[in-house]
Amino acid sequence: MTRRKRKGEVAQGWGFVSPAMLVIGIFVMTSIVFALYISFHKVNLFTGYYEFIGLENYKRIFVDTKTRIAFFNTVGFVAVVVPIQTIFALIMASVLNAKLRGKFVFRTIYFLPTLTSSAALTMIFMFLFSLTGPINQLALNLNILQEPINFLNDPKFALKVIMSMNIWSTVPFFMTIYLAALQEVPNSVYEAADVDGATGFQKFIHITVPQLKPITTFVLLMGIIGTFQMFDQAYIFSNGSGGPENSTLTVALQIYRNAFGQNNTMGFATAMSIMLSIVIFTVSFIAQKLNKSESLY
Amino acid sequence: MNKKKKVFKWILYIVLIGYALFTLFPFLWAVSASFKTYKEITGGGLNIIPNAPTLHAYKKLFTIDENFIRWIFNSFFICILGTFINVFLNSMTGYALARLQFKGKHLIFYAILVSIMVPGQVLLIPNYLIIKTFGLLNSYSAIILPAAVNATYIFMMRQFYINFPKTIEEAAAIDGLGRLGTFFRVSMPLAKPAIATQSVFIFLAFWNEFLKPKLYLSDPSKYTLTVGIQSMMSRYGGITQWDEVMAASVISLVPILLLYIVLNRYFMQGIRMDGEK
Amino acid sequence: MKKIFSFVLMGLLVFGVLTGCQQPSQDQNPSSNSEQNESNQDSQDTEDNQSSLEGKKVVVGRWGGNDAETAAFAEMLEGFTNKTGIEVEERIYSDYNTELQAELIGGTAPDVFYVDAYMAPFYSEQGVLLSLDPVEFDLINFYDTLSNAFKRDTKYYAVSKDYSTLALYYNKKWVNESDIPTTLEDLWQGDYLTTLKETLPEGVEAMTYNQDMARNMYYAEAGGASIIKDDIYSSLGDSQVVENLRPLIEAAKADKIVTPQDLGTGWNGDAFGNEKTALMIEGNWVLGFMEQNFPDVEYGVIEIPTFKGEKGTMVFTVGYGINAATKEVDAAKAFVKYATGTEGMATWTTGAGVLPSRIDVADATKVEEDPFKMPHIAGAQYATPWQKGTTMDTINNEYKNYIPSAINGERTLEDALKKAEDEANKTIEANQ
Repeated sequence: MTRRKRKGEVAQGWGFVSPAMLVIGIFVMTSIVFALYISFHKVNLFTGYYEFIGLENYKRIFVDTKTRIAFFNTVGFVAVVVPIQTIFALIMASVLNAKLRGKFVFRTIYFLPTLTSSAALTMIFMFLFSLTGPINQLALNLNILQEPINFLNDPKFALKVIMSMNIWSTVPFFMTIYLAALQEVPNSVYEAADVDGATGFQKFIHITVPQLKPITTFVLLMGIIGTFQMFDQAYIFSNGSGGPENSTLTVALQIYRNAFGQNNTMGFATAMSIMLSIVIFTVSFIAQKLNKSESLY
Repeated sequence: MNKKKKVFKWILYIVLIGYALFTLFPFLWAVSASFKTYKEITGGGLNIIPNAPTLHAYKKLFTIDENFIRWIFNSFFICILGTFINVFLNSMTGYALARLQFKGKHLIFYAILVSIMVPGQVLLIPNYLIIKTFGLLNSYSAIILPAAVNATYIFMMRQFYINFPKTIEEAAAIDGLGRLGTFFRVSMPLAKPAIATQSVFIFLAFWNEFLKPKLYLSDPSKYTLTVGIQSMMSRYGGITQWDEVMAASVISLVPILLLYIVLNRYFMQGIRMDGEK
Repeated sequence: MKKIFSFVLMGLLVFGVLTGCQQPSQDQNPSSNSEQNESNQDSQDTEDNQSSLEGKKVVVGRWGGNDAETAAFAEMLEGFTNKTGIEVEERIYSDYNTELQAELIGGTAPDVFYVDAYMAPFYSEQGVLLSLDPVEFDLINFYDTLSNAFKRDTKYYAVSKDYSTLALYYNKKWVNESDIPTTLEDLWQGDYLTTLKETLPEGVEAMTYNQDMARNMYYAEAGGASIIKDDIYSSLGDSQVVENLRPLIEAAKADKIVTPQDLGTGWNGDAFGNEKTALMIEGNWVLGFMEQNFPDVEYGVIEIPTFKGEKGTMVFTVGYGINAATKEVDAAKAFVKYATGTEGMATWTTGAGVLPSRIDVADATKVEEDPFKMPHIAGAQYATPWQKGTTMDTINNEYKNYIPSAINGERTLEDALKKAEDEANKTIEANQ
């Protein structure tokens, strides 16, 4: 009986996943395989020139100073943005899930950054942070600053402006997902805690957080993938250059610069992409393990 | 209610409203900018009410091309069809990965994850060649087929179903429902919040997708609204005509905002059946 | 452990399929087309051949323009179709480089497409452009700078359709044309800008500038200096280049000039239109932009002051190139000839308000009589084209990267430029 059930489950399992695998196999995996193939070659896609050069493209990643800078910028970006966006999204979602007046309105308003186009957003932020912009004005008036800071053209600040922009625009996405997940937590669990006289904070730590662990895994991994691949905000912000002083150069920007434009270094660009994927995979794997083992009970 | 709790509630509201302003402001500014003149937008005013409101940018967009109405239709066609296929396939796959025991499950799960870990920039040209090989260029299939499933939401659905109380399904099995029946009659309807969330974001992704449709479709009458507007908008010596850009982004967000508001009630409907579990 | 194993397995799987994939990719690109090009080279003149081309169709790839440009382009197409009977299908790019490159590799690119002079060396090196005969395309009637912008070795790969040069714009409300110093040295090193600023309202700067080789190259290379050595390598650290850039950098350090971004605006045009700056150096695309968005601002245009005793400016040009893999060589050539011929170019340039690349068209359309365009046209004679091989992107990128550190005083100008040179050359070396 159990054996038959098992067998049935295998067939069911494959049946359920096969449409998705077909699509991903044809349209994504094939492209990845092709990219992998390119990464071992010196290529010119225009002329169809392929020269096998083994690991040369990969070796270059480790000696190329620009790539190293891009990598450390990106890692810094991930390290700051992912924890903040995750914690923020979780807190906002659980607050909105509580018994509150005007929940619906808050939920809709908090969703809005998802709909604000990144070009418009970048323009507003660049204006807010400009040398004569409102943030400098405010800081000067309040005597926080003696002299205006050139946030956009100072390597110490440029990436931080992008970080704040990115957090602002990604929190609603994760918040919405947390909010949906919170609906799965049975009320009875909270009610039992109420009987025990638990405070809101205790309920958050002891019920909400553990219950949402699978979703936190999702949020963490998507955050890691998204931030490691961060491209468009850095691109718009620096006009594609990654400056000033390479401070906004991300790995994805470095990949783009090598894949398109005057540089005909598709092989190097794909090698970087493959390496980045491996890094993302490793970091995601560790994050997932940490999230699982972390016992908050 | 004690005093401490009341104070706490007030603080909470202040924080909520503060954050609301923080998210609302750039959004409102962008919306209001679409009613401003170019001069006012670039003049650097932070005012939400335009000094001299104008519909100039909208008039321009609505008359930008004879295909405008067609584009709206195309957009809705692609988005609705694409979202339906996605919700169905993603949920099914996510469910199988979370609930069914079968060989190769982990391999598939990791393959799905890996497919979103490779940066898209280097996949653009291989993708183009594949679409061309299948003879899909200049057809809606080129937009819908490769995006018929979305690895992100397969992953999300898997994480949702992992937490799902098993008891409900077992009850369904006792009632004589097969696996497919259980999935459609029980597991799908109970995941309403997740499905509503998924629908909004997938619709959003289809609606805003720009580069790929632009690349795959060469016939302007087949464009989606986003592609049409963006490609017809003036690119005069690299100058961004901000009034038109803002108006275009407002036009494109209206359907999604409506969808979000409509689906909002589902966000809060879960399996909160008391007594379960 | 199990998961790591499955990842390894995935990797193997991926490797296994490898061989299957290399075949199609090689078939799909216009590789051995160069031979075909040569034979097409001396095809008959289309004028004699018109009847056979009737009913043919060419696809023309371009990027979108403003209303005037779109209308002028349509008018030109109509003229072409009426004359030759060849139909034209337009393809409009938004992300030109990405889209065109994908199509070229996929073998689906248009027969004729816009080629930015800046990208011309790259595309001609890839063998995707048909080489064009200078006599057949009447290049003798073009400004040399413009036809040469598309020349590699001895061959021409595109025909210039129009061009833009930089000139000095001033706001008439605050600036008297006669007061503006006649040399860049005086402008930046003297106290004209400081005095001007004192007369300006609060929040208005005297002048904006750009940290971009596309805008700075003509004075960086003044007096025979070169920012490139051995054809591909950066030589920004060259002592002559350093000295040429010093007046600009010193003025920026002294806050006499600021970038538009410092003012919270996207580019010079926004700062100038909103009257946040009194002076700027910009291209003639500003003319249509000001008319559309800032019709009330009164301004004048003059040639850029001399530097080291010589006149200088940048010139940017776009041309029509023919896809080396096109099946409609004759029809494509007929189109390029018409669009860059006297008739087509006159329709295009007068309608779109841009500058004609042909001297005879410039004379015939009396474009020089326009006082706003005149300084730009004068520049065509002595301008430095924005095109310098296939490594300019890397060189300019490092320039943009390190020049801010020279302005905020973190590095000396010598060090900043040397650093920019070294970083660029490292990348260029590795790309070879």
